[in-house]
Amino acid sequence: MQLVRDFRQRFEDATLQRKIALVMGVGGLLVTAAMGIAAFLLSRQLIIANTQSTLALSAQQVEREIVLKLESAISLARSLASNSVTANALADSLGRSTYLEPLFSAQTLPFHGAALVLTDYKGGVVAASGSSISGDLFRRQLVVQRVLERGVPESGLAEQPDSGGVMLLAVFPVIYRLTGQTEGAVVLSVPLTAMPPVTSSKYQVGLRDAQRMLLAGNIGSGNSIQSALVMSLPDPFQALQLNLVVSQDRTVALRDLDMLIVVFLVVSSFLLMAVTVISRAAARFLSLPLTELARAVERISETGRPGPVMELQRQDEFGTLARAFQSMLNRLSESYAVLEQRVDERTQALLISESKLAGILASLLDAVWSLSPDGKQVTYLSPSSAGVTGLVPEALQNDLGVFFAAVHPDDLIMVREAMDRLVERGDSVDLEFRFFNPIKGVRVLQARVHTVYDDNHQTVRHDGILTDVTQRSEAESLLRSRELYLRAILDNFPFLVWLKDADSNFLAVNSRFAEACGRSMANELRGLNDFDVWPAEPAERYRADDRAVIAGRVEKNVEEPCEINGEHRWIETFKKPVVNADGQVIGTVGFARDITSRKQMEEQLAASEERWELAISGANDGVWDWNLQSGELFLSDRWKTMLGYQPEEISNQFSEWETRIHPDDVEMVMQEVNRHLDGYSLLYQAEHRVRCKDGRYRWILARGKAVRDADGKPTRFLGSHSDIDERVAAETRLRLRTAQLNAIFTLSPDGFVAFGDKGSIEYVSTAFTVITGLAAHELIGLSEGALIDRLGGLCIADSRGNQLALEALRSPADDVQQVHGRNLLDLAGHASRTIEVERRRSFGQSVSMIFYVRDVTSETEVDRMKSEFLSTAAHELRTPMVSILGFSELLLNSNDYDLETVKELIETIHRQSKLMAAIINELLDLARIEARRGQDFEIESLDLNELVREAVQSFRFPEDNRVTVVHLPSLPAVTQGDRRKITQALLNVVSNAFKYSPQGGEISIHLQPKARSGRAGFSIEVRDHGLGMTPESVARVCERFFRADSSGAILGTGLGMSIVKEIIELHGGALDVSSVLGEGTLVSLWLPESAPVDKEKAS
Amino acid sequence: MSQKIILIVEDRPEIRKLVTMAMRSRPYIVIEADSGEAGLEAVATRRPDLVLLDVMMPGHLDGLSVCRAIKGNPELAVTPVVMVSALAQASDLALAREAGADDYLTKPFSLVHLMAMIDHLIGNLGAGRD
Repeated sequence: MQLVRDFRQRFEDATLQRKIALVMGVGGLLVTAAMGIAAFLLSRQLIIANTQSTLALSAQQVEREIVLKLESAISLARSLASNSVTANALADSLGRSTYLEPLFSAQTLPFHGAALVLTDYKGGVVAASGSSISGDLFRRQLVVQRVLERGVPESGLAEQPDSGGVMLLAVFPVIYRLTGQTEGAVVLSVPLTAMPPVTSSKYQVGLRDAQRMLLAGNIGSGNSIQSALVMSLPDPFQALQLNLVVSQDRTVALRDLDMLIVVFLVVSSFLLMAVTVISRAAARFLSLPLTELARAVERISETGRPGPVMELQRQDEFGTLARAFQSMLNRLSESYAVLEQRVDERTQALLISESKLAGILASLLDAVWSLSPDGKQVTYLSPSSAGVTGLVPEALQNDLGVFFAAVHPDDLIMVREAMDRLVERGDSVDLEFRFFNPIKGVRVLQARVHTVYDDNHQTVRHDGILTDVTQRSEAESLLRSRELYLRAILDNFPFLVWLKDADSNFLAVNSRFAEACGRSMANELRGLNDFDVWPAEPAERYRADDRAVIAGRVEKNVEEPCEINGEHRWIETFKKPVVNADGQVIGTVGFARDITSRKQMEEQLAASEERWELAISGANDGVWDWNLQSGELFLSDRWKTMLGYQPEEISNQFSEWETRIHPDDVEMVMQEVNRHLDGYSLLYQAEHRVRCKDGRYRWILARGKAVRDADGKPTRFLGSHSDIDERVAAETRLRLRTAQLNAIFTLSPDGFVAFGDKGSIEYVSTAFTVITGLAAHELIGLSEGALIDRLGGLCIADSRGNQLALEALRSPADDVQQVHGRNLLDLAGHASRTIEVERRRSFGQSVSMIFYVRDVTSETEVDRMKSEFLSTAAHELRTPMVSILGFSELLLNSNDYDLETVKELIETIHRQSKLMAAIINELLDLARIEARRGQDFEIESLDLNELVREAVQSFRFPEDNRVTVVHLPSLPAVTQGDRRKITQALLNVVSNAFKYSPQGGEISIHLQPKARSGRAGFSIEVRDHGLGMTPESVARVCERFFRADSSGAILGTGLGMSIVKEIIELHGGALDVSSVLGEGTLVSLWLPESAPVDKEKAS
Repeated sequence: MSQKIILIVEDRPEIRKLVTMAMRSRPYIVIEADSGEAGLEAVATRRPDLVLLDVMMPGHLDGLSVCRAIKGNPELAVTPVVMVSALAQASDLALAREAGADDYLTKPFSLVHLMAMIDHLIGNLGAGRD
């Protein structure tokens, strides 16, 4: 560590040049060493890899050689073993010696030391290629025993008996063919040492099986390069799994590398030297500009003045540094020059001010002096001190005691104490004391001293001024008493008074002012301004006033509202500029007073004036003012214009009024005036007419009141005229209109009640009372619900329609009529009317709702009849339909009926169909007749004689052979009419006569002239003696579908008589029926003579 | 099973005949009445199982009155009443319901419909199968 630290220290101390050289040298060394190591490792690796591949190749060669040799040896052994001669010879001892021994001994094997041996079945050697094989060598070998037992070739390893090495054994059985017995074996033994070819000097060859090294060579020393492969040996050796290992000693392999290292070291040492030389030169070159810069700076520091440095026209960092340095130097030399100049100026100024100060000090009346920090030594004394103290400055400077000796003995202690405090505690001194001036006598001096400190708060000296204030102190006491007087005056002044400087700061105020702004003491306000004492808004205003006064040099008088102690007050303010002797404005003075009560009075006055002004000039009422004492009458312009005059056209004379009153009203007006003036009325009020300029009269409402004196005597009579002409006119119109409306309502057939804005009935029209039978006085004031209850009380109680209509009326809907259709009420009793009620809400102010009531009795009667007719017609048509439909259905669905029944049923159907056809025809007839109202009648002059005769002649009632007896007059019975229609009517009647007299009896027709209601005419009377009718039936006989026979025995539509009635009546005639039940019926058709068609009815 | 009795109250003989004939193939006995009065009497004496009642009949008692009379009598009220009428407006139907009718048949009617109605009201639904 120490070493490192030393080195570091030394490195830091070295020059830049050396540093660069060192760094580059070390760098070069490190690079070279790294390269060397890298190259060494690389080449070593390469050599090893190369050696390995060479060894692998060699291993393959060796293997191939061994395998080839083994193969030839094995094939030899195999052929010997399998040869049948060998087996045969083995069995024969002669054969052994004569054939086998010479055969085997003649064999040569490719391996040195290898042997080929024939054994007998026990393993004993019979013959061998080499003599070295002992007799029972193989008897002990397990492998040989196994082969002899099993007769299958095998291989194995065996110890070499003499050398102790290992040998390979391949054993092939010799089998005697005839018996299949193993008679012996051929054993091939190859010592392992013989297997490798001649070893090269470069590598060693070894063999190993799975467990151990069998043949080591030089292998196993560890430090060698090896290459191994599994040998693919021919059978039966393959089972041995032998590995071939080829190795080379590492030192041998790497011998070339040592050479390489030596060469490299030599080259790199040359390289290093070169690097050192180059780095030195480079260091020198790099540090050159820096050295130059350093030299230049040294030069500048030697001279102490900035100056030109050097010319370095380079573009690198050194060039930039040099230029920056140069410009810095330039700036420095500039500011240096400025600095020098400024120092010169300051020095000059200092000299000037020093001389000025000396002059000032000399000209001062006051003495200026300085004391030493301990206060015992006078260090400075201005020339004027001689005048102030009357003492010689030199004497004072020498001894301060001289000064204290001149101080008045009564003040001496105070002065000394003050001095002590000054020296000890640094308290400033400001005191006045009496002093004996040898020249001027006793003077009052004022001494003001303060201590001067340096930066470290150490006392440097005490500076002081000594002033002769004798005269001033006299003047001050005078002034003080005068101010007292002034303040007394000001404080008791009823105004707020203040004095401000030109900047609007208060200089003085009186106590009232202080009170007004909530201060207890007047002098509290000194130095404050408006903003300190007033709220911002008025303060701003006051400030503006001040500025205006100062700028304009004018007085300002303002009346303004102000809030003082929370009260609204009116303040009147006077402001004046204060001008000094030179005419300059130095401030303002102001007064203010509370004028609230005055202001209030003024306002009240103004308000009443305004009111009066308004009354007089007002657009509505004319004003009059009658002075009862002078008789003078004031009339306002409006009074005059109201009557159509220009203001100047009427003078202010009493007569102007009196003479214009309508003659009919004069008496009343005068009476009212007098009543008021005599005190009988509180207010004069009269509506009367006044003549206008155009001679017309206008309605005026006059109102007035007398002004009375203390005795109650009227002195003045004031009042107004309102124009009520339009109102009166409107009232008149209204009265007329009401009368009209009442007349209309009275005459209107529709009744109504009107509800007022309170929701109660206010008006009941006459028609309403007539229709409902309710008296108006019963209804007035009733509510809506009460009215509906009353209406409900009038109704037929159990009618569903009535209940629905009443419910609808009670519902809150706005417009009952629109929502529910018509609301019809059937009234009970009282001529059983039907009325329609409508309710309408009104959005008018005075009428909230109206109930209309309309008598719709006849209207609904017609409706009812129409719908009754329709339903009856439908009924009549449906009834025959029942039979037609029912019987035809029976026939269709059943085959059980006998022929007679079937016929009967069909007849019923036929009969009912005929009836239906007749009904339809007659309905159509009736409808046509009704619709046309006779317009399609073919009117002609007819002789009824002829008509009756022809009709009866052609008429035959089915299954009846009676003959109608006809009685005709001798004279022609001429009338106007439609021949066919009258014939139809007649035949209907005749047909009925036949139908209703089924039991027989005469049927006769009498035509005879007959007057009816004073009109001449003819009656055709048809009489039968049949069933007859009850009086009730007679009354209904002309009703549609009425059938006198309800049993159904007599067929008929019930329409025939209706048609007859229509036809006859449309001809202006009449139909009469009379009948007695069980005796017969008489029907009389009456037609007027030459009866014209009733045009009126036809239209 | 005793045969059920149906009373038809109808002023038209041919309609009475029609119903009687139509019921011949059915297990019902039809008795007839030609007016309201006769009908009411028949209801009281014969106690029919069902009444077919014409609405519009001459005389003092129309069908509705008869129906009310039947339904107003606690002994008879259980008897089903079918109103038969040529009046086919909703108001007519409403009147029939108010009178207490169990059903309403509009003229003209189909016999099949009539029978179905009768079977249903009598509760004899199996009657049609023999």
